[in-house]
Amino acid sequence: MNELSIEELKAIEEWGRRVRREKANWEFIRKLPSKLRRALEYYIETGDPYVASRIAGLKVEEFNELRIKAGVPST
Amino acid sequence: MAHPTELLTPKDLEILEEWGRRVRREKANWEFINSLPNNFRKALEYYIETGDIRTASVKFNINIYLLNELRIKAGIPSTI
Amino acid sequence: MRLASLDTCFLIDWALYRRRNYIIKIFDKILISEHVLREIYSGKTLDFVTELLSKGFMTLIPLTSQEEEIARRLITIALSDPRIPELHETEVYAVAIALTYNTIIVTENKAVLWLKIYYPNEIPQPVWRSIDVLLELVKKSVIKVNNIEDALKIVEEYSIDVKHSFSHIDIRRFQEEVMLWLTQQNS
Repeated sequence: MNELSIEELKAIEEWGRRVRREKANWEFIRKLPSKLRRALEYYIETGDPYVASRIAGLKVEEFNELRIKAGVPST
Repeated sequence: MAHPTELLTPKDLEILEEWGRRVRREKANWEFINSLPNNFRKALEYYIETGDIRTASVKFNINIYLLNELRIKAGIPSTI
Repeated sequence: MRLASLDTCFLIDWALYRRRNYIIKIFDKILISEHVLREIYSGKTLDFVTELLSKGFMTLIPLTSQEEEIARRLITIALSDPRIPELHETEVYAVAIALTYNTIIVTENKAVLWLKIYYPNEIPQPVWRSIDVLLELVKKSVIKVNNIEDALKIVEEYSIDVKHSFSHIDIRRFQEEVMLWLTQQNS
């Protein structure tokens, strides 16, 4: 498989951000405590589960469960 | 050109310690502080005395962010 | 590239400042350790930190044995010198990150400041407090000032927003640096 170009990488990032935003259950997310809400918002923006889990104060696996509950796809 | 912190000397630190303690004591809302539960009151008193919010949060087991919010509610300026 | 390592003591105050985002204009990247994230869980500090992280202005730095070793050394010094206040995890790791990645240390923590003054060889990196960051915002023209009164207004704004008092020593030196800078700008 050919390496992705920078433009392609940027396009994938943008696509990922859009998909995560669209699919997220914002009603669920808004009701969460600040730290968890912020962590999901960070994840939706960046797709980075590690830092998101650090913001949430959760293990990566725990954050992943939260992400699924919030309807946010991994991309 | 130098930044203010670069120019600090040990003598300055002594002056700042005394100045900081005086300012924190004067500006503190003691009525509010004395109305708080024991642990929070002691943490703020410690902070007023030392200006060290980190050690206050560790010693009295209060999250530093929360303690800072409380400091502000109690009218105590951060110094140094 | 100008990097900064920030600790919680600085962030919990700076996040309250109305111009807090200007800090990204004077540093190419801000580094924090996980310890900082653990301590903030709501309010303006959390908003500020997560915003900078998501926009790529701030980076979470994993700690390695190198930082652990530096932290151990600094804590040992602090323990053995009664002049140095207690040095705790978040702050010592902020310094360790600064030493590893050659960054400016931005803190409001007494122990770090005292260590820098009494043991400058152990912490060769510059240590900045909020007064130094505000000065840099002036010198880099991030906040435009035409005279000393404008500059002092910036300090006053910060004092009001954060409920912080600057000492006469710091105000005097801030004024002197701004005067020097203004003179250079006008010549």
